[in-house]
Amino acid sequence: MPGTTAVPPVRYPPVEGLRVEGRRRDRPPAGSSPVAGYLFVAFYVALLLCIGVAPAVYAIALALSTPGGVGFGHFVQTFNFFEFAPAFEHVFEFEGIWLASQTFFVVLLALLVHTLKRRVSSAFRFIFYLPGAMAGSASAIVWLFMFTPNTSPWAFILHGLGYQVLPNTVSPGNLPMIFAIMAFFTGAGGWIVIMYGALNNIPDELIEAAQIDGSSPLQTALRIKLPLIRKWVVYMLVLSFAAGSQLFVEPQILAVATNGEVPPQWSPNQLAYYLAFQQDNFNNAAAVSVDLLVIGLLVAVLLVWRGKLFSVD
Amino acid sequence: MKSPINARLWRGRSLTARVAVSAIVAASVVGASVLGVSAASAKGKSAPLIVWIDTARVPYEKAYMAANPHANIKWVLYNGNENGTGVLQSKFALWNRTGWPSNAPDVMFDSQNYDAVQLGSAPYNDLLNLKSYVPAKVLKNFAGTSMKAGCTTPTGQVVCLRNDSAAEVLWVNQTLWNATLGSGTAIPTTWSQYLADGATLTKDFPGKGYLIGSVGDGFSIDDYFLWANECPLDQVIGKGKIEINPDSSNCTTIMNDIDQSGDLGKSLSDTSIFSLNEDDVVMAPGALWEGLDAFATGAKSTPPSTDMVAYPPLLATNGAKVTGDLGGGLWLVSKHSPNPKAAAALAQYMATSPNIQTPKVDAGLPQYVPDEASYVSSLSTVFGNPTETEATWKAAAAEVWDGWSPVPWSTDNVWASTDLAAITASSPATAASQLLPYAEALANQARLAGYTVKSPNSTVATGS
Repeated sequence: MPGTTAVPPVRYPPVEGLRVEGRRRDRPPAGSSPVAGYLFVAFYVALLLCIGVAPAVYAIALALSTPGGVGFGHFVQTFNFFEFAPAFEHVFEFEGIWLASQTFFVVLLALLVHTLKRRVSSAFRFIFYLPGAMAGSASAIVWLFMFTPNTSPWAFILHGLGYQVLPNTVSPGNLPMIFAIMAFFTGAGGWIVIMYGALNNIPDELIEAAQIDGSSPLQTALRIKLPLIRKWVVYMLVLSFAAGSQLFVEPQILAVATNGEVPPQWSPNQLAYYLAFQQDNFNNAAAVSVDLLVIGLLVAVLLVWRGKLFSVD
Repeated sequence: MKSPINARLWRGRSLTARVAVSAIVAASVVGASVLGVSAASAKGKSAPLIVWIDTARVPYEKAYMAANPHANIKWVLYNGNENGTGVLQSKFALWNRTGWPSNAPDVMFDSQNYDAVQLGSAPYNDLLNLKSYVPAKVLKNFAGTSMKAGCTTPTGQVVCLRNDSAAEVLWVNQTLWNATLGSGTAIPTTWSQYLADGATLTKDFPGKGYLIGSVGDGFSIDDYFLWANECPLDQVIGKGKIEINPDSSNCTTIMNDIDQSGDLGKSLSDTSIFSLNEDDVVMAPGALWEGLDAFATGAKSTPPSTDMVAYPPLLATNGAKVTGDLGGGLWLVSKHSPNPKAAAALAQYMATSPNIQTPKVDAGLPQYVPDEASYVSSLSTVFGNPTETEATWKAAAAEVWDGWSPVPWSTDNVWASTDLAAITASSPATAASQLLPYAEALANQARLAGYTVKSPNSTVATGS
């Protein structure tokens, strides 16, 4: 339909706890055709099927096919590897440190930044976002310098902790913390920007009404703003948990850079990679991948359900 | 809940613009897959041999092309599988599932001693058995047990040719030795003499930081100290069977000697041999090539190699005349090569030709004995005491203990991830206390790779 645009009339975005007058989203805006909508979704669905669903189905098929037919043999075999349990322990320890600190600081900083004047806050958001410009591999290299006592600008801290050479810093017990620090600085900035966007979605009237009723900035932040962005926090947790449980690039790069101080099966995803590409055993690798998929799904379902992520009002 | 990204990107755009964006995305997906298909077309008869080498082997390529200017060879650079990065393992695993493409390598240089046996055995089985392509008299001429130790699978296939010897000797900076311990002091021939000299240096030159070696690397303890003392932590005793015995006196004696000397963290540096100040190194056990690498000529803070003399490897604590091995390269030939005869001939040429195996193109001593004499004599102006150095090199190349077997895991990396942090801590753990954790971690890697572990130590044997 050339010539017609699909811009809906300006209105407040729907916010939890608020009723927006007039029609909601039960009908497409006047003048647009449902065919276009299906067409665009079709592209996404096609890609999702090709590069999302099909590989997952293939992995499940690989994991279940044993020499004796269909069975759980590969799951049992991988479960019994000595490296299996520690890999999951490593990643859960990493996620515990990372998700707790990320949730706390992202929400705190977003709320703080939201109280600032627009121009000042955009400068802060930019600064917070900067470390995130270095994705996984690049940040691993930069952090490697930071963690090496002879090159780090923070050498005095490392020396204070008793670390004289890189092997001291990247000792096995420190690895979850090290990867949590890397992940925090890579991801927090982006999430602060998203939380800030969510906070901007809260209608000014609501904030003003609270202020007229005598709500202090702290009370406004904790009692009004925080509950209204709760779904976004849950959303962040779902995505971050899935990303974190698949930790791969950082330990892999650190392993190469330290000539093997990080074992090649440190995380479950690395274990799967190792089984497939260092041992040519794709069935066992698929079994570990399916374990990860199941855990990720379970946690997502739990968070979505408990956090009421998909409820409309 | 609507995603903010989608809403902002799409809202307010015309249908035409949306279709255009989608078309670009779709076109790039289709384009990428078409390119992938065309690259996998069948290989013609006149196709060049494809040879994968690492950057350090580029001089080999130049020397080969100078001698054979019309050779139809495509040289491809890759990382040589360094430090167990497993490039070949991952490519081969994929190709074994998808079919071998026309641009797969025919001949490869590999810097990892243990790779050939893994890639030549099940489930890979991807390397050519060179027994039927390389004459037996050529195979017999590789030094000592090097072919048996690194290139022969448990089922008896010969799956690689050794490039250079990486046997360990005792490198001594003669100038620094004379200035510190004195020219009258005998060069150590046993590990206990060597460790005692380290203690003397610490005691007599406080604050100078003179060194007798390093423990700051994954390979230091296991290659210099354990392998060279016949410590059985990596001994394959049959197909898929390995013996790991940390209780053997071949392991415990040398570790206790290290602890009793008090040299850890003092004259045995916790910094890697390649990162420390080489001017402080009075002596160090090291591979042959380290004489031209770690102790290179010219560079600041490295002694000129004319100061360096190679002395025979220290006698093992059990009295055996053996040494360890660090690095050295292999030539592999793919079983999937459409032209195995030419590929094997090229590998043989690279490993044995005097055009290639000379100091002009290579830092290491050839493992192929007929090339050694001219190689070593051409070094007479490079090192101090050439007579001693030449004799040492030739002898050491044949003395590498063959009980440290090639296995599909890196023993260096296992030491690095299990024990390195403890041994380099500011108050280091004892070397002896690291033997059991190291053996357990090795056993776990072995079981992960499908090996059965035999050990008199029950923790190592059962993994619990």
